[in-house]
Formats: sequence, C-alpha cells, structure tokens
Amino acid sequence: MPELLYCGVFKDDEDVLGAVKECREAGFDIHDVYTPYAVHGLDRAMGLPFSKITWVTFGCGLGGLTFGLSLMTYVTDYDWAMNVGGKSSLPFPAFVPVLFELTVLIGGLCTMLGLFIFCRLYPGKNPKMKHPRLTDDRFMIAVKKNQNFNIGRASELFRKFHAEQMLDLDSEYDCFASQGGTS
Amino acid sequence: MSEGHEVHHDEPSTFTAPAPVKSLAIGLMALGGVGFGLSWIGGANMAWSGWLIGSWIALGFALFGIFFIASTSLANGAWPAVLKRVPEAMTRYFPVAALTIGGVAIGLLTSHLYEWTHPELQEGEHRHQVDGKSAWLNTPWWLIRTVIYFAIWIGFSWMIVGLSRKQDADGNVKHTFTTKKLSAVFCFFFALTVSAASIDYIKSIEPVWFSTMFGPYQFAGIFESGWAMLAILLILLRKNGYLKNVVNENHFHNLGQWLVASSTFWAYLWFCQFMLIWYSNIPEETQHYFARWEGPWFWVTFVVNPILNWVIPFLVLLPRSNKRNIRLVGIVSVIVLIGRFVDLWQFVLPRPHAGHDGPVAHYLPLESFGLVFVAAGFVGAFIFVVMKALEKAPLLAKKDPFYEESLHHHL
Repeated sequence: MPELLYCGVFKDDEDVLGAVKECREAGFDIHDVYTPYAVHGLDRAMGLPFSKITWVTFGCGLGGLTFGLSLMTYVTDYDWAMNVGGKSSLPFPAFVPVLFELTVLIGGLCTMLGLFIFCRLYPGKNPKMKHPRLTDDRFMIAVKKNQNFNIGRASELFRKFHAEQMLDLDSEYDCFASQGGTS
Repeated sequence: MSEGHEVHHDEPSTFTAPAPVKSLAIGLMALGGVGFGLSWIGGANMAWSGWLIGSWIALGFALFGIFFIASTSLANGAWPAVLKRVPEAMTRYFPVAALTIGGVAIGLLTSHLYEWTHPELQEGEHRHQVDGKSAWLNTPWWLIRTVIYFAIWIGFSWMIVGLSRKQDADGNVKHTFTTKKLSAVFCFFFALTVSAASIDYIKSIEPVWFSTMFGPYQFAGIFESGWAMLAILLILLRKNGYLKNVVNENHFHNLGQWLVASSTFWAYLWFCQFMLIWYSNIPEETQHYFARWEGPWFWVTFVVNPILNWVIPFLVLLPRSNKRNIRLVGIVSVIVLIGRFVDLWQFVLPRPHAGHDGPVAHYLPLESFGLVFVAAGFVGAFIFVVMKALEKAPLLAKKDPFYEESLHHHL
C-alpha cells in the first residue's frame, strides 16, 4: 500500500536542515529526506535514533574472539596437544595476536554487512528515485500526507526555505520508471 | 553552522587559580613530601625510586602538552582551539621537571638507584655486560644528555607558546602557519629525545635488559596519561566556573575517544614487548619478566597493570554516551593515572640484580605501596604549576583562526 507524500525539492543543504526542523515543529511526519551527500546534523534534525550498528560491531567482535579462542584451543590442545618450542600446548600469549585479528576482521566484516542490511541494500534491489537530480545537486524532503498533514502550512513552509518545486508523489513512485527509462 | 548551539560569552575574562584547586595541589604536594620522607624507611633506593617515578609521570604530562599542541597543529586540528591554553600551560612545567630530574641526579650520584653507576658491585658475566654499555651509560654523559633534552623541550615549547601569545596580541594568522612548521621540526626531535630519555631515566635501571619497544612503550604511557591529565584539568576548571560554556560534551567526546585509542595503543605496545620476549626466550631479555613472573609482582605486572591501563578505559569509554558523560571521563582519567603509576612502579621496583639495599624480585615490601603518595605529590606540583601558568594569559584564545569552529565543535 503506497503512502501518499508531499515533497519539496531544495537547492541548499542549510535550507533543508531548517525546513526539516520546522516540519517537525509543525507536527508533520517526515517520510524521508533525500540528499546527494551526507548532511551534517541532518540525522539529529530528523530526530532519528542513534544507530544500532555499534552493537552489531561489538557483538560480532566478541563472536570473532570466541570463535578464535575455541578454534585454537581445540586445534592446539584438545584435539592434538602440540609442542612448539617447549611451550605449553595452551600458550595464551601466542593466541593474542590471532584473537585480536579475528575480533577486528569479523567485527569489521559484520559491520559492513549490517550496514547493508540496515540500509536495505542488497543485490537486485530496485531503487526508487523520487527525482532525477537527487544524486547530483538537489535535496528533497518527503512529508507523509496523513492526519497530521496540512497542505497550506506545508507549502508555505517549503516556500519559506526556497523550495524549487513541490510535488505530490507516493512512496512507490520512481521518476525513471514513469518516464519509461531505465530503473 | 548547521548546529544551533547557543554560545554564551559570559565567560570570566580573567583567570585566577581557584582556591579549591590550589588547596588540592598543595595537599597532594604535602602528601608527597610526607610520603617521600617515610619512603626512606625502605632505604635510599626505595626513596629515590619513588622520586624517579613521580618525576617521570609529571614530566610526561609536560611532554604531552607540547606534543598535543604540535600534533594538532600539524593535523590542522580545529577542535582544541577553545582549550589550547591548558596544554600550553602544561608545557610550563618543564623548568620544574628539570629541577625534579636534578633530584634524580642526586639519587644517581648518592644511591644505587642505577646499578650501572656502580659496576664494581656487580659480579661475573653481569658485570661484564654492564661494563660493555659504559660508553653510553656513564654519569657525565647522562648529565649532559639531561641538559640537552631539557634545552630542546623548553626551547621548542617557549617558541610555540610564544607564537600563541603573539597571536593574542595581533591576531595574525601567519603565527598559526609558523607554529605548524616549528611543530614538524619539533616532532622529529620529540621522537628522538623521548625515546632516549625513557631509556636513560627508566630502562637503564636494568642496564643489561633490552627492548627495542621501550621508547614507544613509554611514549604510549605518556600519551595515555597525558589525555587523562588534560581531562582532569579541564574538569577542575569547569567545576570552578571556567570554560564551562565553551568546553562541552563534544570536546569531552574527543578526549574520551583519545583515551580509548591511546589506552589500546599502550596495551598493544605493552603486550608486544612481552610477547616477543616470551616467544624468543633469550636470557638477557627474559630476566626482566622473570623478576615479575612469580609472587606478588605477577599480579601487579600482568593483572592489575593491564586492567587499569587498558581494560577499564577501553570498555567503559567504548559507548558513545559514556564518552559524552563528563563525570565518567573524569573517573576513568583518575583510574588511568593510577594505572600510569602502577606501570612505572612495577618497572622500577623489582630488581633481578639489586645487590644492596634495594627491593628484590619476588618480594613486595609493604613500604613500597607508599610510593603512590610520592607520585601524587608530583601530580600536585604539576597541577599547581599549571594553575599558576594559566593566570599568565587569557583563558580563551579568541584570535585563534580555529576558535569559532572549535566553539561549534559537534560530534
């Protein structure tokens, strides 16, 4: 079920930040904000919660540590006790570099995978571009047209922040598909 | 700027050392004096060991101050512009540090703090090995080197802080560029002098033992404890109404990040030094760890030391919200300073070859715990000197080109 959206197209990131703040003050629900690059402070202006990706990194790092520890314990001591240079078959200091590497490697790879999952980036994903210039030099704020929405107030607000265009779209809209172009 | 931080300019325009901080510093110094007096019960070696540990810790803070200015200047770091007076004041401790290292020289001349000063007391192969290093480890050359180190440190810090004062007067941006050039030259000398000084003052306590990691390892300790000291100084200033509105949780977030990073750097070097020696198992190298492998020193060296210096700062300050909790950064900083003491304490005290009145390996005498008070005395002296130095210049470097950016620093 596509959601109805009211979208403003902007030229300047400062305008976008101001408009997003006022949209939230006006009580509108923001569907998303599209920008060609990361705008500093936008996540806070949109009121997004702090990313959970740190917990993925921490958990997977611990997982890598546990994996390394159990693998080496099994291989060098439990399965076949190994004597290297007369040292114990459970030489903890010799494990530490491997444990460190595995913690960093698995933690790092899982962070990347977790980021792809959180951003819903996966092979075969069909991106829905709302405006052809959003990856170039234009910004867009998409506000949900629900019970909190007020068209007069929204268009006045967008105009105050020098919106170039105001569009009625829906969440399934794809600007390339509607022109019959590639998607 | 994007962030709508409300910046208040109702900061006090002049700085006078707050009475509570001065009392704290004087109290710590008194504690240190009593501790130093009592440590003579354990003999001259014990007393001078405490003096050496304290001098080296406080000298490390001053070295951190100048390295902080030089490295942020080289990296075009903007965020510390509002707090740069504090590291600048930290460098003003160098002359006092020269005096305290002069005290170490008295210990060197009058006691067996450094066994290479008395090679005739050593025996057999060990004596031969100590004699073999006499070209570097002899008293006149040690004294000359000390003068060279302090000439370099004081000279560069005077020039770099002087440029900052000139910028206060004329606001000319060219001083920032000159500082950058000076910093590049200084960092070269810093690496050489800090490595050599840590070998002269600390490692030469065990003249036969060697470790190519030792310079970087001591630098890591200086770096980590320096961040902790900087955080503590800022908290002391904030508690007394200074910098309260300009140094905020964003700056402490940076300090917290640096504490996590530098503690991990310390742990990396601490462990690498141990692991390579453990692995290759060469007698000249392992003797250092043998003296700490059994008995109470094992717990100090291999358990308490890494917990205080790495486990606690790393795990506590890893979450973002904890780094922005100024109180928590302060608590972790105090723990890191105790860890810095323990790191040096476990290095200086157990001696595999202490022939005379020094403490011997595998034995942790009760009076050696008193050295923590001696070290606290030096920290008190350092805080006192920094507070006095802060009075000499405006607390805010308002003409620094990065000042506005630093006010709006946001992480």
